[in-house]
Amino acid sequence: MSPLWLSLEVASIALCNIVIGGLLLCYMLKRYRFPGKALIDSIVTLPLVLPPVVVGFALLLVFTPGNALGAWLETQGWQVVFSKAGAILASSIIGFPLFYQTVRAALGSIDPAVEDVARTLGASEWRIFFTISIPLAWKGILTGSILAFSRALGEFGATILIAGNIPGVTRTMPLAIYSLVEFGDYTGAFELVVYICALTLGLLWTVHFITKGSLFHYQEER
Amino acid sequence: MIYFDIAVQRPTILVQGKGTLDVGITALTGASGNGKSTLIKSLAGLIKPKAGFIKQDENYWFHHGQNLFVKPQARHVGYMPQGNIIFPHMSVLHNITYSKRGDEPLLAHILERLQLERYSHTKAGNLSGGEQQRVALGRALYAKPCVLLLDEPLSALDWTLRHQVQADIVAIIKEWNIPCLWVTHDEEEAKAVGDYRWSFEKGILQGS
Repeated sequence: MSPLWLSLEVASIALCNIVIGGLLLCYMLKRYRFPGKALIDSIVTLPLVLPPVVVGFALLLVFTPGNALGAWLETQGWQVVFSKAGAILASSIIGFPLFYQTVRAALGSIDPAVEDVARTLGASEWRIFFTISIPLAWKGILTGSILAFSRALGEFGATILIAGNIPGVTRTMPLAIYSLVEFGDYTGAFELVVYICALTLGLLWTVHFITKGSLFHYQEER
Repeated sequence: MIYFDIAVQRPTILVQGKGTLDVGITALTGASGNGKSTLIKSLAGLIKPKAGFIKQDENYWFHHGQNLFVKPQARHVGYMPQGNIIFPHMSVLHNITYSKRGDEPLLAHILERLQLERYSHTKAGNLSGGEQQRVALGRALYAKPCVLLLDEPLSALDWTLRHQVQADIVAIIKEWNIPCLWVTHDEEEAKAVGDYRWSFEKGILQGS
């Protein structure tokens, strides 16, 4: 599989994980009161500020077949280290905080009175989340998804440690660029750089369009 | 009828009140931060008091001694918080029928009585302030409430609209024939709408 398609596949599956996990976590943190909320918030945001290579190293330590979890997963037919699953896991973890923080802020900006009214109308917390909170926070959810997808697409440091750099299996675009440069193939590397820049620029433009409502006109905020 | 005798601890004040909400409009006044919204939210089940009880006829909604607290979902109150709180992303029809307690004849009656028939498929967020207010009232009434709790129902409207909307809401509440607690900071408004008058002073309910 070409690095471009592999990257798109890995980032898409990572995005599915991120959206499902992110929405569930946002719901839990919004709905329930329990000690350690701030700790959970900090832990899931950590990959945003840590060097990705540190995250990759931590994943390697957890999932290496040399320890209990990694060995058990391997007996179940799940190989995380040096596999596509490892690349997806790395991208999911690195992209997660961008989605989580954007969606949490969007959900937090909803007037609590709107959800209160829904409660008095007899709606369950799940129904309120799906019919009121998510639709009112859709801009944040879409923006967070695009940011997380773009980040997953560009993931390098964690991926190379946990998934390696196996052509056709885990060699995503950033890893392919690295390899091409290492072998002195600057033309090939440049071609991939153009692809990834065009793709992420397009995605970020979409974010700008969603948040500002204008794609080509830059308006000064007054 | 709603009976209550509660104490609610808020960050800056202890709110205390005892009273009976009878059929008709009870107008509640008081300066900001004195406990008006706290009382309404406590009756709706959105805030848990620290002591006392709340009951609707013979059913307790809250009883501190028995460690009983009925969730807002099960209280059947019609609640209109401050501001035009509609579901802006839904049509007028979906706003009104958000509660599953109403039925077709009630919906038809509400749409007609509140003059919302021609807006039924309009997105509620695109309506004017007065129309949104009617949607919020219709939505509360569709849930077949046993009490209406209105927190500054006219505050989001401009002065020219207020008198008309006020008269409309009062007429509709009278038709429904249920208890209604109408919170306002405007003494004139309280005088005009209230069958009974309560006020809050330094967190203590007076006149009840």
